[in-house]
Amino acid sequence: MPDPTLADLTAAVDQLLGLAAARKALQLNGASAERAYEAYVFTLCASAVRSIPGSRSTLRGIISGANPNPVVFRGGPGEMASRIQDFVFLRCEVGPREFEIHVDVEYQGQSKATHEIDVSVCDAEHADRVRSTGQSPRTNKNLLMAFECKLYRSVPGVSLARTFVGLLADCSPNLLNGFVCNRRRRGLDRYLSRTSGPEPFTELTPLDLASEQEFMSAVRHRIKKWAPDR
Amino acid sequence: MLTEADWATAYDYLLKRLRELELNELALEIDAAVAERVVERFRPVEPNLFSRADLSEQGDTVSRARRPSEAWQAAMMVLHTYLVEVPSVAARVGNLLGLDLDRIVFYPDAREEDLQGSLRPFELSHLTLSGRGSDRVESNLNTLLNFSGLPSNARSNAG
Repeated sequence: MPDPTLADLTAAVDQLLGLAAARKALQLNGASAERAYEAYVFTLCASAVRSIPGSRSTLRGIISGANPNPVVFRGGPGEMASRIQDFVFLRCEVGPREFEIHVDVEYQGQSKATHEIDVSVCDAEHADRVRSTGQSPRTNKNLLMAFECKLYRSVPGVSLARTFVGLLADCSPNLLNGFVCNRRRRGLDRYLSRTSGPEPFTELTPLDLASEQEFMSAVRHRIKKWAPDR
Repeated sequence: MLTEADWATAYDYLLKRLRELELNELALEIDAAVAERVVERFRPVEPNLFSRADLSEQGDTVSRARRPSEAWQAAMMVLHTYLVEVPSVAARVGNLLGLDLDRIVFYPDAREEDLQGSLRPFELSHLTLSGRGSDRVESNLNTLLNFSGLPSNARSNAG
């Protein structure tokens, strides 16, 4: 391709922005995109569980029960016990273990500070108690996995990872903690490799199926190790 | 060959067009992305002036503001996210759950009377592009990415 001219660039901008579909997609706010990315990570966790032989899992709405229609994700942080909407979670059974996967739930840390965890895996009995009492779940032994999810629109910095490392310091040890995002940057990878905190799952998007496999394999492996066959 | 001044003009033009189309939030987001500094490895101007021991005491990275061509690339990454990555994420959620996208919705954990600002419910289907629209958008975006020297997946380690 010959080198573009300034006129080529501005014409290409006009062509792109002249498309109604492009303008519609660009009206989206960043928060909606972030929520969709969290739901994406939730569905990958769900797929990882479903791929374990003998596992059982059901989408449940907190009000309607099994197989809700529509499926309602939290559009922002909230309470696990909230019945304001029919918020969805995945109830899972693997071997002798029962657990749930949630999106955007607030947990009380060991320090009693409140932390929002984008995608969390929680012991099912604990979640049942939380729903029956209306209290908050805790980041103690009942929190099994925690994932911070970030859909970067530009170059990733380390500030969010730093915050997540701080959050994990307020949790008891988990089976797996992951910092999940759609872009890679050496500085971010280096930072995460120097901490005892989350495992990095960078460049995780549907555009890179190998990254999805790698993430699901890590989730599946930790669950299988924790929940051996009966 | 475009000069840095040309890239600066193109960048200003892109932001002007976004504002004309009332895509102000996106224009602000691009500006914020561009304001992030580039971090790169420190290279001494005169490598022999300092010993390795002298240099090892200091950090080996430095940061600087983006050049106009890099600002343009950062803007392209933002566009790529909204026009390609987000629709693909939305479609994948529906695909993995085995559900139509209009059956997947997002509601804030707030009472109706408390909904304000970004706390608005939305359907996942709003984040996707229809088949033909998607092809045209991707093709036009790829033209821009090629002009910018970015790969079509635009997920480079720029910066």
